[in-house]
Amino acid sequence: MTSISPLTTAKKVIHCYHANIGTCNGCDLEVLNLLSTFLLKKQPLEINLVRSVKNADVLLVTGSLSRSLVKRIRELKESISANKTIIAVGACAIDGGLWRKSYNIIGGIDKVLQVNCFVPGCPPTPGAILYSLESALVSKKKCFTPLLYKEK
Amino acid sequence: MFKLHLIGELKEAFINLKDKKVVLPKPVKSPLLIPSAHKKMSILDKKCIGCGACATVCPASCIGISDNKKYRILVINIAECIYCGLCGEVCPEKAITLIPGNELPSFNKENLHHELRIKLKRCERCREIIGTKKGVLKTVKDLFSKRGINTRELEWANLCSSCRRKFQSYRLIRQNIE
Repeated sequence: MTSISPLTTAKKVIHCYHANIGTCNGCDLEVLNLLSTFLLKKQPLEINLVRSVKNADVLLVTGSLSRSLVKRIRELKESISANKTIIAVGACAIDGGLWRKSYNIIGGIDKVLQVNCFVPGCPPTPGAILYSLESALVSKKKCFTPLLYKEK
Repeated sequence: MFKLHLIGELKEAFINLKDKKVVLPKPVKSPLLIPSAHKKMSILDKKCIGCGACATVCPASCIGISDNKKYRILVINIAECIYCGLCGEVCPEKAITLIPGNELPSFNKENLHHELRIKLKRCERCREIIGTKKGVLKTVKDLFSKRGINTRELEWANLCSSCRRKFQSYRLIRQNIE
């Protein structure tokens, strides 16, 4: 994982590669909205979308893993280096989402890629995506805590 | 060249500010997680009676129900939830609700679920599962809240459906004999 020290005052530019693997375009629009939000003004991050994978620091993956795209993703996996953060955006990327029972879909993208951070939501807001980016790269902030209740 | 008329305008502006006729625009706070934009699941665990209405209604089928020997296990998978809020409308005890807020990201996939374990109630004669303890208590309360409950009715409430029929038929026969 790439890491940035929180003490640096200058804005750190993060180069993102946005990989779409068969979404309904809900999560894609939220990722694009992230670049034009006012949220970025006060943050220590600046986000750029990059065309090729080799220049990117972060992979934002949206969509459920369809059977026809497994080959391409394996190619993508070989081209990136090991210390890149991979973030699964949305319910489909985590576990197939609504389409997990259909014939063409294998499951979440963590079956092929090694995912660092999962962002739940259908679709997640740009604020949530930014929060996860910041918590994965800058500092480990609060993360999701499951509730376990047992009646006595 | 220094413009004298600017001094007069500045003076006027200061006077207006002092009297609070003019309000300067406040700097906009930019919170990372906007509360109104997205919804978050909140579960009041002690209220849940384990009826399973939420599991039947969920369109994404992200709530799973299974029965243990002692407990009924409700697993709510946050990773598959689409935040429609149907479970909150159906719930009789208002245990599940959607509140404004954002679900936090996690670094492990296994963490993305809630689990509730609620005690089961068994029939007193044939030891078959009727429902949960809280669910049976609720039905008793709803049926007999206006008048008090008899010992006979309490016995009837703790039986399964087949045993109830037997119980009632035995009672009828006994009454006829007497």
